[in-house]
Amino acid sequence: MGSNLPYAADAESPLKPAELAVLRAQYEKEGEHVGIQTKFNFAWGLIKSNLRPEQQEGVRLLSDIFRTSPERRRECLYYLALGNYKLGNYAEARRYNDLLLEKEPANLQASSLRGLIDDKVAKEGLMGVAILSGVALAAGVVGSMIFKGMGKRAK
Amino acid sequence: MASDESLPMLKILMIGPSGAGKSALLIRYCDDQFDTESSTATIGVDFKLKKLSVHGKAYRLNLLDTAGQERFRTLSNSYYRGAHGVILVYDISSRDSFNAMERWFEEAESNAMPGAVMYLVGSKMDRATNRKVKYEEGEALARNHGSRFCEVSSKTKENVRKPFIEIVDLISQNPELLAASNKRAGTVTVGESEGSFGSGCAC
Repeated sequence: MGSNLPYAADAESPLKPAELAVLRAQYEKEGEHVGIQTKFNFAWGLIKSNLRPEQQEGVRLLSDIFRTSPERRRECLYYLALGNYKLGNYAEARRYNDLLLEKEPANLQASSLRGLIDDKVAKEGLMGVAILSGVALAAGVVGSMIFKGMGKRAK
Repeated sequence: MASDESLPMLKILMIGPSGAGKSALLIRYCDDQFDTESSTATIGVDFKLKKLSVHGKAYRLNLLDTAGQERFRTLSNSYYRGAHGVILVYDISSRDSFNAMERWFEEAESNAMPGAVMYLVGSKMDRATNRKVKYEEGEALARNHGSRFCEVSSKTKENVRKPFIEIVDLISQNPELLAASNKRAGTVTVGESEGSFGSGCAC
């Protein structure tokens, strides 16, 4: 049952503020010469947060690590995809996730995240259609009223 | 099935060194699939949901498959929150993976809630000709930690269901553990074990 539903465990289990504070304190303590592991740990904690500014900060830190530490790229790609997914930047999320899938076509976590992103895009796409058709309907009503009005005036 | 939602939820963590076969065991157990060729190292944590009945009582298993790689270990103690059981996996064809188990027991014992059930699994028992760890050694290590033990092969499916059934059986025999999990869920904090959380940053 349900074991094949797309799921990303790290997307839905935010740390408690005290836990994130430990990671932040370590990050700030190391200052300018912060170690990669410390930076990654903090970025991971930020990505797991439900607060947008923290998710954004996490994405920023991960982009740094992605650029400077090639040996960390696969996990950076995954968490960059996850962070952007949580932020609602689905195109970005898909881009990072596809890069990971390109390197590791059989990566089940990436396939699962792909499913999550696709679901969201499909849902928002439907919503977009609904909004557009709503607009079109309203425009049609207003249009026909104007048209009728014009018709009356023309008479 | 709508009734699934009301089943008791058990959280079980899988830990052990990188390459021990944690994900392979989980995927064989949950999806009955096996593919060594294309396996990739787990990033952070993976998750599976599985329904299991033991002694006629159904449970929903929340199975967390943690990454064995060192770089993720400093993050792992947050995954222990509310876990009823921990399955520790090593590879019977790798002496190093077995030698590391003492440290994995230590991690589990210091992070899991009191009374959480430990279960030691020796994986890849199909590699009999390449065996580096005797069955008795695994059994003895488990006994030292008050843990159950079995060997499995995700490749041949041998014993694949056994650790899950037995750990659920053991958890279900401890009503306090069942009841405690949700209450304690909010009290296990990283702050309590700050040393282990922060100290991994030396690398």
